[in-house]
Amino acid sequence: MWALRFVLSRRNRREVLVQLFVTGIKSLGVLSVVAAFIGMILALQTGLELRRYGQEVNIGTAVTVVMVREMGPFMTGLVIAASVGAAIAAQMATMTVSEEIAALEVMSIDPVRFLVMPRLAAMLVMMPLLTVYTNVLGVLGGAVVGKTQLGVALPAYFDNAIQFVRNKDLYVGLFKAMVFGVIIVTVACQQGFQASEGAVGVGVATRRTVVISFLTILAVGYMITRLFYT
Amino acid sequence: MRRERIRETSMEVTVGAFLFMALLALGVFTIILSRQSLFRPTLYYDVTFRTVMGVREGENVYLRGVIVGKVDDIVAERGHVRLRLALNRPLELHENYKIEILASSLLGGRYLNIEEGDEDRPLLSPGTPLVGTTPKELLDEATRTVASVRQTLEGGVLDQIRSIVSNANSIVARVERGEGTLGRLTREDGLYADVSAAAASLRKVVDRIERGEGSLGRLLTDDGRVYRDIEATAANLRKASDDLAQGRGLLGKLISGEDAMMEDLRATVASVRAVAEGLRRGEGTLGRLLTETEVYEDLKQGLRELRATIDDFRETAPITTFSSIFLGAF
Repeated sequence: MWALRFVLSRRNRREVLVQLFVTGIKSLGVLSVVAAFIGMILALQTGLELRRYGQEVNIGTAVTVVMVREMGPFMTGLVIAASVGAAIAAQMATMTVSEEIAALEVMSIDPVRFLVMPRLAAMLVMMPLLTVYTNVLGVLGGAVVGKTQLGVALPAYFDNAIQFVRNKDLYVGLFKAMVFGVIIVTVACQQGFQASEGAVGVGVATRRTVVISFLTILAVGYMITRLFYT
Repeated sequence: MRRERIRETSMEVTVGAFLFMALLALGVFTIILSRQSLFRPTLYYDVTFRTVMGVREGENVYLRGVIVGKVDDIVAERGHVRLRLALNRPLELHENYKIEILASSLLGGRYLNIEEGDEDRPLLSPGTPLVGTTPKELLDEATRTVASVRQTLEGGVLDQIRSIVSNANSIVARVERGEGTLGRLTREDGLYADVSAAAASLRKVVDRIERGEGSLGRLLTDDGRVYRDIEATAANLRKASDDLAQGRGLLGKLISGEDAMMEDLRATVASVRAVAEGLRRGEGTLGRLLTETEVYEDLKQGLRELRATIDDFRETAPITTFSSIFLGAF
């Protein structure tokens, strides 16, 4: 309730909107390229192997299952960690080393509530939706490769695509993406708030944010998979 | 300030549009993956199986090869497993219906296949509990089949096959050595030439037949006249045969063994034989004529004298006639 009231308050709503725009819309370009090529690579690699057995028509299943379960949330997490997470860390670190955070505290403004919450709210909303976008583009990229490189008809590709995917796969993937979003914002803000030693500290915080986010996303991704599929 | 407001509005519109599109895509994905139609009511059927061999919720249900729904729920109960099927069309099952669990591929995955049964069988009454056929494990079936084949082979069939192969090798060796007709055919050109010549001759004969030459050719190419002649002949023969069989005519009566006729024939033959024997023994005039030369000579002499008498009478006949007429006047 507190979080909802926070988001809906007029001042914070504008900040959340800005963060939604930065996190979501500004990431679409790079995410589109990554998603499409991930789907195309998956389709090509899987299709070339399956073609040896005359089963290339099943690439729709392979691409969709892999994208929805793992690669969609994982690649979205990596891209957002590398772009948005790094930006958040750099911004927080700069504010820390220039003592803007301290100034906020002097003014009795909670920096977590003022700086972290809009980013966290935006990330919680945007990460699952960006993952849906990644999934769609990945599946479409696979379809293009299947049609042009492997001679798989589009109806056959899409029939196979939905053959073995369940709603559970989709929503577990979205849940992963949401958790990845929390990880990215938390790590970035924590590293930013702990920055020191001027510009060098900003660089260190940014680098460590990306590295820690990547490793945490991998580990947490495995744990969530194990939690839901074993 | 106004520019700031426009920028903010633009940002709101962009973010809103993206959220709307993404949520719409999520909704469509959800509906597609749930395999349920929004515009058609979902019908639920319970089917019990003794075992379901790892079927999971969400597996497809096929009716005559068309996906009609999915497995909605699986409940393990005492002695059986109950599957709830969510279908998008009603089932019309006949008494010999069949619901079975099949493997999608060797690598795994299963689906339910429904066969409605023969249309000439009565329909199941509403509320009849549906019972599924126990599924067959594809790999287990393959293993059992291989074991069965091996058992069959090891039970003597393999020895027979070896024997057949050995015999075939022997035959091939003989052919290679040029033994037998087949061997000579492969070795000797003369035999081949003979066969070729025979084939050529045969071809000529066939060509002549096809051209309608000769009796056989005419028989094959004729417009039916020969056939009709043969048919008429056959009909005549059949009629004659029928007459004989039914004892009509002399020959028929003889063949049919009619008693009176046979008795007459036997008596006639006996009489002829008796006459012949009498003649041979020289009995009677005719017998003596046959056996005694004097009788023949006397008869010959008598005939000569008779002829001379007739000649005399013929010569004196005008005088006698005239005398009779002249003397008759007085």
